[in-house]
Amino acid sequence: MNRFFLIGCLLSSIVTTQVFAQVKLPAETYLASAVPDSLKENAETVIRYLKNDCTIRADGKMRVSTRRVVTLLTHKADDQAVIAVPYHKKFNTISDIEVNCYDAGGKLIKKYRRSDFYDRAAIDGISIITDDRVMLLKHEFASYPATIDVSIEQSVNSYIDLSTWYTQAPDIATQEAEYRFAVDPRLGFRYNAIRTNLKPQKTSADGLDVYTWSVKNQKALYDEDSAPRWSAYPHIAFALNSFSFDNRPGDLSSWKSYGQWIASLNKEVSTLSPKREEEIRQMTANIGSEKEKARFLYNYLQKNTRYVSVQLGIGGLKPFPATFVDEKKYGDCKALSNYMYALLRAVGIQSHYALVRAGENEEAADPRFPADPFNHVILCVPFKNDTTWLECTSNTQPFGRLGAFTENRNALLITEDGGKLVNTPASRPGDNRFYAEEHLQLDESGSATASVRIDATGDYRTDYEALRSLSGDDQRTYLIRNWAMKQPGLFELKHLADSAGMKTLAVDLEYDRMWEMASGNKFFYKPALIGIWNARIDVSKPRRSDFYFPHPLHKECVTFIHLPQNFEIDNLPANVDMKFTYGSYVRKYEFDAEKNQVKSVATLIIDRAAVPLSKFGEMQQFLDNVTKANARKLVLRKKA
Amino acid sequence: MKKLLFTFLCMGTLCASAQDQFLSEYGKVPVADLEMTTCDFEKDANAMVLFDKGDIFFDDRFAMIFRRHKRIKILNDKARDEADIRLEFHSLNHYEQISDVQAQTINLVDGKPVITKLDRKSIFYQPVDKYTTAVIFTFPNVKPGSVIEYKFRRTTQSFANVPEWFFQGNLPVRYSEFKTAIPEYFDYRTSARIYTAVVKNTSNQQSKYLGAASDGIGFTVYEKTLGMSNVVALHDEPYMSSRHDNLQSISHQLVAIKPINDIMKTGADTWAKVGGLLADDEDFGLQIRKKLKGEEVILEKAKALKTNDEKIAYIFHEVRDGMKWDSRDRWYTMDGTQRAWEKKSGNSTEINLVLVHLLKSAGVKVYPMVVSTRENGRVNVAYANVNQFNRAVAFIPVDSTKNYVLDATNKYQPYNQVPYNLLNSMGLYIDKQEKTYDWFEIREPKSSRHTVFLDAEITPAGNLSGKAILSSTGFYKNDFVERFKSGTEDKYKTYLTDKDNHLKIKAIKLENAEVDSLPLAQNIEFDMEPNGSDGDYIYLVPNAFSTLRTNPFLNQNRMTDVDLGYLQNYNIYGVFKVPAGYKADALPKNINMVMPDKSISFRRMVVEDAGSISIRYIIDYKKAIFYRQDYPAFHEFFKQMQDMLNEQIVLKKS
Repeated sequence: MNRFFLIGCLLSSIVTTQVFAQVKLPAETYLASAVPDSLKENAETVIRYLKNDCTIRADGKMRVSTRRVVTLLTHKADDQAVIAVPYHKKFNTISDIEVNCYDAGGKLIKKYRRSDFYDRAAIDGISIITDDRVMLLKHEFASYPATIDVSIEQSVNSYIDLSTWYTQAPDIATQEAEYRFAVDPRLGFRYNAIRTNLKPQKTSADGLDVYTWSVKNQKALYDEDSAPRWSAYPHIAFALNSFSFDNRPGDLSSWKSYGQWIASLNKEVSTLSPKREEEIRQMTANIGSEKEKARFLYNYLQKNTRYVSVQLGIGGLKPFPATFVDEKKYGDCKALSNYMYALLRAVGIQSHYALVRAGENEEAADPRFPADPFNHVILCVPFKNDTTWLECTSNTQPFGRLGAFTENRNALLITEDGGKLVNTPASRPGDNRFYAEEHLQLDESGSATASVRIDATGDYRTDYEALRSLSGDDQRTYLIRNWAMKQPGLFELKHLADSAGMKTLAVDLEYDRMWEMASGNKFFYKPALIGIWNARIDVSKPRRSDFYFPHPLHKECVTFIHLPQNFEIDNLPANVDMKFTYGSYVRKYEFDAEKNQVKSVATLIIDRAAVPLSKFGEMQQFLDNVTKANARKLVLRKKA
Repeated sequence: MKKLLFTFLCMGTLCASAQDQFLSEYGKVPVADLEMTTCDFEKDANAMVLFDKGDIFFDDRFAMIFRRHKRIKILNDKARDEADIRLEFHSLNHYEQISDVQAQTINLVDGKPVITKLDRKSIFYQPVDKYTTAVIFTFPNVKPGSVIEYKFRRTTQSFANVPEWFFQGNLPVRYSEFKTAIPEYFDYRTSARIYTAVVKNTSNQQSKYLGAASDGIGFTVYEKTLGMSNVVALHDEPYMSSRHDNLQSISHQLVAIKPINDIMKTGADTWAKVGGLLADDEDFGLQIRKKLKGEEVILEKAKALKTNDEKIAYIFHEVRDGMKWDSRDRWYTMDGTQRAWEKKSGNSTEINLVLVHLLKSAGVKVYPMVVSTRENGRVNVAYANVNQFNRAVAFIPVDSTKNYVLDATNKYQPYNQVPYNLLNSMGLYIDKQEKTYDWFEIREPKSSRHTVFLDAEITPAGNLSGKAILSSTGFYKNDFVERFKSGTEDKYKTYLTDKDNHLKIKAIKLENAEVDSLPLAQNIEFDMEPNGSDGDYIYLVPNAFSTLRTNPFLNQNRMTDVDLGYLQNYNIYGVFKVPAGYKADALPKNINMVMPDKSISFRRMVVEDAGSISIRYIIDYKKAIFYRQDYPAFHEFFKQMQDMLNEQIVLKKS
């Protein structure tokens, strides 16, 4: 299984403000009736006033004030009354918080202070322990609309980049918002606007450069399926050319220099003892090629270590020493990648620790904007003309395969010359292949027996491999649903070979009654056991963003249906051959009279994960037609 | 309930197994356990607990000590996370302390056990919040085949807090043992939920002497040990009641402390006493008397209403709509009703005691009743402990057949229906005046009814166009209303059509969503393009707009009872006009299918007449709870029913 490390995202969700210099806002700001009707469309929440003010006078000396006044139009916006203020035990300090709650008429009904918050260790669901904490508070509004005004002030001593502002979020309209950075000009402030033309106003004050972005009267957007946030919402990333993290200054003006800083953290921790290095050399002494040595050591890593995430202090960025992993046999993505690096180094193979933003269809780093958008580490082994990537946190991933979690984007390689941004490989349809061969023996009585063999590669293999963590009964239920099967009387699953990136499953099935409908001597059957396309594309609102499949895919299902002796064909479904810009679907039926057997072949290919908005309509039509074609019946007849 | 309740037998030594076949000392792992590759009583397990041993005893200062030793076998690579351990304890004011943590991994290397000890530096003490600290560690050198074991000691400054011992969990348990050694001064009542055979059950007594010979004291310590073997894992199952209701466990409640010469009762050991204490509790019974700011306005209005029912409905709506539940469930008030009323929000008991107060003040005969929600688990009436409850509601007995159980925490709850999450449980109501504290069994005898009427015309091109009316009562109505009100209309339509782009809702209108006395009516106009139409054939699924799309009971095995909550009556009536040039080629058959015990029936009737096809389905439940012993029949029924719901009308060009 793949995992994140999280400290890189530390600053991303902190909303924050200035209490002492707090501007008294006009009474109208708290009056729900003053929200223009034009902003209510698609909105549950309206930001009445947002001000984020970040001042950096020197490296590692950042103050952030945030003030956010939102009106909750209905109870559906209730989660806006939950105030969660994340912080890190060592790297930032929340100096003040104030929360004021107002009724629809703008009357103050409740005030909260810092001491009213519940403070606890944050749980990320992955790590066993971190230094992350969160202050929580919820106000219960008894009626809506209502307005809540949150001010937070904090100081931050450790950061790499200055995180990202999403100027628009689902179901939230904005009446007035301002993002402001006041920075010592020597620190080299930069920004990168994505999917927006919003430009800052630049002024100076008090020896600082001041950049201000403002948004006024912006309507809410509705959320869509299969659209990663970065691809669907405008955002602006911010960074400085110099930074400081845990009192370690760094230079972020180029990928190269940032890579040097990461290299400096890893430097002391990536060597094994000479004795262990010698043992590792012994282990691989009889293996000929470098690539085979690497494969051997990757398998060694997979067999002997396990993923455990501990993120304390600088440990959020700096790996556990290779010697620690060697002794304890566990670590997080950083520690395991660094350990793999050390193993390879012991046998003289050069590799590179590589930072990446993990997650299905996640945003690639912008080469023109050095920053730290990463949350994961993998390893890159640059064999000549054969660059190999290793996911070191997985006990089951095939050698050299990344998968949808990290593929098709870029990663920052940490080399001797510093950081280098390079692309991770993109998978092709054939890399995520699902192949099913079904043999179905129909009986005159209506019952049937079947055997199915599935060969799966890429992310299909990963899914079926992960199944093993469920109980046998739950595996069976999952597959019947996932494959949209008619519920069998017997379903016996076997996990067969899993090698060279391909996993094989075998299923034996029995049905008391295979046909779906019968009338006189006529019987209607589903022409395949497994539905290779069962998803539905939401068209309830006009599509506004690109559509993303989890990965490119190639699915094929070949079905042999053996008819009882005294049965014949009444109607074979029509053959189908369809295409759209990024994919195709073919379904062919043949009847072999001699064998009294129907062969059906269905093949669905999707060439790429991302489908641009302009092709969405075409894709949706295509997929609807696939659904329709799959629903056609095979009609058989008992011979007179 | 068909639950086997286990209670301790009285004093006296029953048996004492001299040689222990299940347990072994820390660090002594039999080679067979290291060589083992599967759990013999649960073949698909990825890890198993070899043993889990808990000991409760009291030290010389009468602090309660809980000692635990647990050993786990990692069977394959899917279970490596079992080696991550987190132990939380109540650390505020040193109430509890965990100490003497030891852990080690044992691997078989060249046929010999090799021990890797957990390094002290790798044990973290994390302050979770003001009250809680967590001890966190992970085992070194864990791989498939490893055995890991840990032990610790927890000291508690309270006699009342014997931890509940779970014999069962997420992993199969080869042996689980709980031992208590309790000085004669403490009197505990135990409650156990046990289905697996007990393999060890011993009692014993020992004399103990504390202090110097002259001014010391002698007393007796009663020892009890309960052991269970081969306990299978419990996985979550659809429509199971709370997990806690189903896990095998034993809990201890302190009922009395007996100082040397006297008996001092600390807890309530009968329900009558619990009721009496509740009636006079500052955070319960006494709250009901408290006047609420501005209540006169509501009471005036209530007085003007003629019938009791109108008063109840009015006051219920005032509280339900005027107050917001803060998602906290306690059987007692925290801030009190007056503050909650002013804040317009509170915990469940605060809100419902406000309701009780207002109803009482308006002259309605009403009692507070403590209850336990479905998530909190069923109440064990044989075990008088107020902590089994997590909420209070208002209880109004109208006559011998009619009662109201009012819970104003849920915004979509009608006044005249039992709340879903209290169904089939027991409530204890408190009649302070009459000093009557009695049980009420919370049931809904009426079936919730859902009917889909479809009236559609098929065009010669094979498409459908028509109207649907969905009429729902009871819990069906609640569910639809809640869904409709908590999302957008687009999302709601998508829910009704199950994202099927071939089924389009052109218009939808809800009637009577706010009228508690009438069924909800959803009027829908729709178009449908049947999937699968092919050449001469049109395939039509009459089961459109129904919520019976998939069978939730695909699993073959069942560990827990299926608790559907309420009785159901599900109907579909469809009338389809067939265009000229087409005729029915295959029609679903008339059928009547009944569960062996008649608890569920499924009927389907089909009539073809004068160019139209009428089809009717009736699914009727006479039971809401199905015991796991009856699951095979239940499973088969659902399988066949789903097949029949998926059967289609086949039309053919003539």
